[in-house]
Amino acid sequence: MDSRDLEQIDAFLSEVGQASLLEYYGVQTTMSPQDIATRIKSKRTWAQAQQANPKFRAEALWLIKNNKLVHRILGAELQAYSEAVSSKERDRKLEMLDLFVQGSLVHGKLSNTAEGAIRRQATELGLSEPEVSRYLEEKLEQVSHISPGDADILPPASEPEEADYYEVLKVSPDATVEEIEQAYRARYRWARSLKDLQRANAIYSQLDEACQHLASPEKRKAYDARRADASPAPGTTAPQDKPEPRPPSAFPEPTPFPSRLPARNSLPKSEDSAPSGEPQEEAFSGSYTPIPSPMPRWTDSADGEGSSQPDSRMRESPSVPLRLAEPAPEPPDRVGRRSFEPGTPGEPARPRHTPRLQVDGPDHLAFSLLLRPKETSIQVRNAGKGQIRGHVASSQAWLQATPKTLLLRRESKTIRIASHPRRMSGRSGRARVTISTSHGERWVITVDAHKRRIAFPVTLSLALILLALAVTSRMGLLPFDIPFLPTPSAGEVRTFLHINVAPPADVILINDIPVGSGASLPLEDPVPPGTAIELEVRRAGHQTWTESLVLADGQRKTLKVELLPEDKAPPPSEPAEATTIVAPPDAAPAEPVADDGSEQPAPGAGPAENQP
Amino acid sequence: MAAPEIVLGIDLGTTYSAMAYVDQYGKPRIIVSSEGAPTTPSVVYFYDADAFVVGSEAVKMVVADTSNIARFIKRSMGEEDFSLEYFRQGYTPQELSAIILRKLKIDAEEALGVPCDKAVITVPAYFNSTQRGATAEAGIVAGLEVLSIINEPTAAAIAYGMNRLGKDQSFMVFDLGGGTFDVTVMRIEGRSLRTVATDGNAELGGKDWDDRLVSYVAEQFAARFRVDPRDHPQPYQELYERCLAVKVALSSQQRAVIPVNYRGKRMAVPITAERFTALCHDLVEQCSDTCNLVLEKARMSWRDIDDIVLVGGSTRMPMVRHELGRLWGRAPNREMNPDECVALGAALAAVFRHQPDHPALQGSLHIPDESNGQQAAPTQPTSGPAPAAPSDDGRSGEAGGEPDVAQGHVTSRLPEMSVTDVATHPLGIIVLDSNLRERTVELIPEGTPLPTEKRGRFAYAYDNMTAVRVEITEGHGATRDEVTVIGEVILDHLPPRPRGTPIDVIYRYNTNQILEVDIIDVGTGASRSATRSIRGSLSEEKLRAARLLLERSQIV
Repeated sequence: MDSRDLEQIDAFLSEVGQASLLEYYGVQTTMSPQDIATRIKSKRTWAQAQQANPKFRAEALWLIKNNKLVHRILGAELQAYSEAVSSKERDRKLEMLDLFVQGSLVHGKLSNTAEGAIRRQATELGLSEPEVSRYLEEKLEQVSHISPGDADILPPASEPEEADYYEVLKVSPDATVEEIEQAYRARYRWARSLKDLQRANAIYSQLDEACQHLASPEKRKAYDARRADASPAPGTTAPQDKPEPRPPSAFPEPTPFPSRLPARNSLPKSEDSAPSGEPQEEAFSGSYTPIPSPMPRWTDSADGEGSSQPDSRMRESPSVPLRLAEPAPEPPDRVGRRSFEPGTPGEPARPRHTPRLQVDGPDHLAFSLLLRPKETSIQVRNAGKGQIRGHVASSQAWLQATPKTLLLRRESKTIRIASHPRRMSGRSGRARVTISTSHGERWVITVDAHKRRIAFPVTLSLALILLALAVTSRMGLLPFDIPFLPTPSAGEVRTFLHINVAPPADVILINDIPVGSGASLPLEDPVPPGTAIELEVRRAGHQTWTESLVLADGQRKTLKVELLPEDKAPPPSEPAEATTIVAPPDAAPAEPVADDGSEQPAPGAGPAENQP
Repeated sequence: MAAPEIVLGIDLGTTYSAMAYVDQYGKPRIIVSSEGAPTTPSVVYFYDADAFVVGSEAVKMVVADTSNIARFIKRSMGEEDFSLEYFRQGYTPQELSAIILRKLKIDAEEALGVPCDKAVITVPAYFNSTQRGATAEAGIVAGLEVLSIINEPTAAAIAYGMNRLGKDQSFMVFDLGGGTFDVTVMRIEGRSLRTVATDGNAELGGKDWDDRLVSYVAEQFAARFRVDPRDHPQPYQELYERCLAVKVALSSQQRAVIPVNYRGKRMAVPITAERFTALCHDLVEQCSDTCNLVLEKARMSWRDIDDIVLVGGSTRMPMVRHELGRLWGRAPNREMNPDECVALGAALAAVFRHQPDHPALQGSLHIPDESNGQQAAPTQPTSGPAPAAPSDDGRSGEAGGEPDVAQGHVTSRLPEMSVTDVATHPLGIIVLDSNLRERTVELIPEGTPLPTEKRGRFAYAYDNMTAVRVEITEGHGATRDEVTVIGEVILDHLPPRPRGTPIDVIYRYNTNQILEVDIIDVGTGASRSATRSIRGSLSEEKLRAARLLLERSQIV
């Protein structure tokens, strides 16, 4: 077993979403070799049967090609492999713990409470006690060498782990949700008035955390229970108080505070979007509960971190936060499949027990209209469980969205959005289609429509061209014979000419105008009745066939044309043994890389043995 | 006139195989399989260890016994480490293909009543030398003497060009088979047929269209019942077979219904031809992209193409024809049978290349004055099948010999035709540059007409070298990792001399895709040559063993 094998296996495992081959095959080290071989064999049989199935092709092909490798790894090298797997797993866990520890370090030290929390986290991850102890020792040793300056960024006062959420929000423990929300906004405004940016930022995050815990009934209940446990003997129970509140802010970013500094600039935005309580009333007047959720900030900070911790917390929050259409919290290029997943974007969706609206389509549409209505459609589906009831509304009369009501269980539905230029009052307009659901999700599609107008010069010149065409085609007849142009769809066929050509013609011309090609060409009204037709049929290597005829009104004529091969001189003569050509060998050197001068670049004819 | 020796032209396809031979009148004919069909499905069913059923009988077992079926073998051709296991016996793609070839050989012998030991096998133009080698090995294992491996579009072009000798036109061979896709621009000038440019995708074919349909239906089913019929081999196969039938049906009808029955749940998924087109529009786009790329390589535009020859069953799909019609402005040529013309062309190519004494060719050689023969050649390009050919069943009427009066008796003869192929993959050499870093130098670029000989002058990289190693590379790329090293030649026992001493390397690449490499020491004249023939990865003994095994086993 070498690193290449492992690399190859890892690539495969990440494809199939498994942690190790042991897991993939359901193999334990204690199993007998026969059992393991049976499992490998059954997988291989499956792979062989499914190798043509595109859904499993990559997986099946890998299994087929690497059968020997798998047998070796899970046979002779099983012990070594399982050790490698578990050590890798341990490294991964320690890495996760590392993030956790870095967030908990204060002045390069860990408080007792923090250490307790870390140990608890470690146990959750499945690390053993001695492993953690050894790791912590090493870590603290390492950290003590780093200049304390980094750690100083943390606010010295009001240690968050000591903070009581009710204290942070300055509310009583029996405050209602409304009171908590109000308090949150009040404290938020107060924090914004502070001169000390660092402190303000620290307070924001505290507020966010506190509000997260207290705004959700379940969370609050859990927190209350912990708090009640903590209060009798504060010295010993502090660790229990601390772990839950602290990690979330610490977890996604090793050094959370510095990275929050720029958040000052975006404060007006966060004020608008969530906490200030005036959340885009115009666009979202629907049935969602506007909790003063710190979601936008959370999403921003957790974006890209991919950590599960803050995310799972957010999933538990009772109401689904809305994606704001107007302030565009996501980069604009993220069009396409999107859902109302409250977590970080791009994270794989997990099975959920609530209905969840998923919209496949852009949130902005632009129509360029001429005279006819234009239509587009988007797909919506329920990505969660249960059913979604909702309705689709349009803000303007010229924009129609159908159907108006939605009932989504499993299947996806199509919503058609049509814009009608004639109902538009101006040249351009903007309207919104809002899909809102009974449980508070909302998707807004902004539609910009623009009516094109045919410019007058264009119309005029078109008319002139038509007139000219009509006149020329009717030359000799009454110039004012109206209608000028025979309309192919409306007018009835007055003459009919069918040309059959063998062999198929390259081109068929009527009065020197190509009208078609091929073996059979039906022509309706090729020229006005009574006009002379000069028919010409051409084919490469054949004599051109010509005929003049006149078709009377109502006449149908079928022509059979047989093209005769040209009496051509024989092709340039060739040697009799033409079946085997011998190309003259290229006299000139094809790739003179280096002539013979040693100063020329690229002097090398392969890596060759060097004379000692 | 003695009956000529039979050389089979075999089109070994991903989904279907066909074979043909040229009769004594110079007329290529499809050999009908023992089941009575012009093509044989490339499917092998193992009913016991070393006992198999090949062809349409095997197709019947696809659903019944999914795990003992081998199909789409061509897609894995030339892949090392790839082997399938049936009844505890491992089979390489070569061996599996050999089983099919053997069945074809037996059928041919039955139909013609003479032993057929020689064959020309076709491969997609875009196969690389390993894949070509593996195909040749399959032939050897099947007990055939593989005279050459030729490109499918070239073969199709020969079949097509037989009727158009003496013209001057460019045409495109659009070959969309079951699993591979090739586009080739060819040119007929007088009696020579020349490949201008070629490109393709060895991983695109009708199978992809089937897969789209299967996925569509399975997803519809899964959306309603939360179970995916693709998850288990047998329901998948069943669904695949149904989708395959519906795909074929949608070529002529507008709508169809695909019934799915899985885990006690039933659903009939309706599909229209339009929906199917929409599902596969990107596949069609891939095809048109390749066409445009080939035209670009050929420095031509669609206007320069005088005709399009459709090859491969997948070209029957209206969406493919419409796309070509849209690009080209005319409807593609439908006169060739897309299933058979490759085999017919291969049989003709076998005569041109390997049977100079074929009676059909002899007929023309008997004419003493050469110019006479020339004059007779471009007669009636569109004349029907040769009158002397007995009982033409209409299928093989695409290409034919010409009746001619030679030396007093009526015979039929083949017009001579010279075929120029091109190198489809660049061949090069690994050298050291002035900083002693490895890089590749292309000696034979892609698109070089074959046969060709290229000479490159290189030099000692170090002082006092006593041996030079030439590593032959295939493929585009500047570094070792981007190309495939297909062989090496070493010239040793050289007198030690300073760096910069010139060394010549000569590549000779012939139409049979055999590469000869010569290394010449310019100073002393010492040389070493080696031949890299079309060979795959199997050793002589393995080939022999596999061949003996196959001869002992039963083929139904």
